[in-house]
Amino acid sequence: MSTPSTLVQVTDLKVHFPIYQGVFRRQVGAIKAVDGVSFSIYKGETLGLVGESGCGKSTTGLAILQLQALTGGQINFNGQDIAGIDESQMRKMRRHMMMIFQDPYSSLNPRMTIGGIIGEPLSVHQIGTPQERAERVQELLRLVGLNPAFINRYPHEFSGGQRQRIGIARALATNPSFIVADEPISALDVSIQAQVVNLLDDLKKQFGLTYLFIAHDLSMVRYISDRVAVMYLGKVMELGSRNNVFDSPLHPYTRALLSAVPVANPKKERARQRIILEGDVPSPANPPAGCRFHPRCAFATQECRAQVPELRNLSTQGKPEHWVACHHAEKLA
Amino acid sequence: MTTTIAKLEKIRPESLWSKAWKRFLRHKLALFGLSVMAVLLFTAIAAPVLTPYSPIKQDLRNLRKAPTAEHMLGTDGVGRDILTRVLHAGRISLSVGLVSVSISALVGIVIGVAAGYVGGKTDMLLMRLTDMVMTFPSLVIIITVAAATGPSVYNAMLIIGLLTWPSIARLVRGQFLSLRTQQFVTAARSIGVSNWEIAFKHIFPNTISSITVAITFGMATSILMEASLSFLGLGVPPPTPSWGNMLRDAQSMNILEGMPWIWLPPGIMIALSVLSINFIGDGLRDALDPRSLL
Ligand SMILES: Nc1ncnc2c1ncn2[C@@H]1O[C@H](COP(=O)(O)OP(=O)(O)OP(=O)(O)O)[C@@H](O)[C@H]1O
Ligand code: SF4
Ligand SMILES: [Mg+2]
Repeated sequence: MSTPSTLVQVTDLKVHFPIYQGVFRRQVGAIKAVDGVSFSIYKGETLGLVGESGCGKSTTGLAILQLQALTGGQINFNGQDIAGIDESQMRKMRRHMMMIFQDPYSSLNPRMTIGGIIGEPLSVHQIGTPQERAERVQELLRLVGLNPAFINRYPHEFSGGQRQRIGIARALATNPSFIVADEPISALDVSIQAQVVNLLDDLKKQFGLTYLFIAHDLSMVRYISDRVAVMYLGKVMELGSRNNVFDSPLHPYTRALLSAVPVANPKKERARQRIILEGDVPSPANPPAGCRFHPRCAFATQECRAQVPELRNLSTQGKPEHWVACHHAEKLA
Repeated sequence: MTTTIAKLEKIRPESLWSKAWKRFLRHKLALFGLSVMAVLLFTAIAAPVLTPYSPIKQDLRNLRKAPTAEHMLGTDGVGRDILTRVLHAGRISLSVGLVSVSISALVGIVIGVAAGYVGGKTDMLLMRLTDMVMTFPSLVIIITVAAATGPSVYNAMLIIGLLTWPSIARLVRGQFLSLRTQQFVTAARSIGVSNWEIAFKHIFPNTISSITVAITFGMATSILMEASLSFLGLGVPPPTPSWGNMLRDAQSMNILEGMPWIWLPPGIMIALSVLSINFIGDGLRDALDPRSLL
């Protein structure tokens, strides 16, 4: 395999939400939703982003697309630095990078027809004539497995799964190269989840798309991702190829997460030991010093409490990169 | 391709409005209200041809006559036919209601959209203004303005409109703020829709049903306000009849007790119009419920 080229490069991304208090609305602190995240997304891959609720996955996705103001950091998209560029310039870039949303109900404007919704990116970016747009919308409907005759209907006439397909068609309309999918299946019935994931996977192959796939369902992430990043409290804890992260996790947090997932292989399933995480996730307004995971980590030492572990590549030469942010990863491996 | 599009047009399903209309038709009280309103509007518009009398010409030979075949609802203190006056009064009272609710809606929508869309300092200033107008002792203002400019139909419209917009402004602002956090707004931003278009293409259409309902109830309020103002002599000045100033003629005890034909008709008209508009409002609220679109 040739060296993959980078489509999206995120460097030291920070998103802090100020907390105001009192009559004078003084800022008393900040929720550090994303606090120094760096990773690359290669052309044509699916990068899975996992982690517990509230660890900053959605905020990361929104920040990459400049839908959330950054506190700091750089975002490089296809060779161009887009962090903090002005909105009118950013709007022109948006045809190349789209988003699929979690909630199939609130993500479609109830007053617009399906044709209006899917065709909007085309009219916003002035692609084609009205006639060509109408044809493209029908083509997109067919592509996501819906009847092109639905074009004049309204969202409330559709089921959750169908609506999610409409959202996918909207994201595909301008032929983007990059799509952030923020938990695109977690609001759907289990029976429909697999269909939608397969659709996303097919579309990726067909159009050479690159995905940032945010989820907390680990088995789904394992199924669809090429590489996986594990987040905890606003930081990336581990990042590597799917097989590395799932089969030989290096970070104690990743191990704890994975140990909660049942395995299909009965032998392995019997051998599986659940690592119960002690305590709650600390508040992102006041994250623990040193390693953020230390209050809940069974291997924590003095060093862990004092020093923030850097994200280090532990793979040997020639093997796929395997990044981990733990002082003791080698010893635990 | 054109043939498929032609085919698609044929199976075009009903619009959101025709669905809402169907839901409205199921609402019996609203239908009743709508029919009553239709009759009231018709009789108001057709008033000059429905009775042979003038609403203002006095007839001193026929003072306070009880209903007869000639004067079906009797006559008032200066001999004018009550039926004629009550129908003509409908023109004035309903127009005052309509015009003042339009003023109120216009001001309310502009201020509400500005506050909800721009946010920040603009929002804060506009909302303080709204609170101020809402807590104004309205009677004091009305008396002052009426004393300064003299009562007139136009002043009544203006005063009512300028005192009732805050509830619409608040409603619109609240809707903007809550709709702004919906994912479809983030989705619109994500595909590159401009802020301006987000406000007017994505958010505003979703506020129209609540605004429609609010305007309907606002109309009832305006009619009642006109009646109170005119009753106090601060609204529509005589001899032009309005339901409110017709009631004003019935302030003495012996008229109240002995001559119900003088005050009952305008009283009934006020009650009937306010009630039926409120029924229509209830029906619209159910028919336009945004949850029906989820
Ligand atoms: N607009 C905001 N204002 C203030 N705090 C916010 C805002 N958006 C998110 N947060 C906070 O930032 C943190 C990260 O939120 P985020 O939505 O990114 O988490 P997530 O990983 O996507 O979680 P989930 O799995 O529940 O979607 C949370 O603590 C959340 O409360
Ligand atoms: S750095 Fe220390 S506390 Fe953090 S995960 Fe590694 S061992 Fe645990
Ligand atoms: Mg999320």
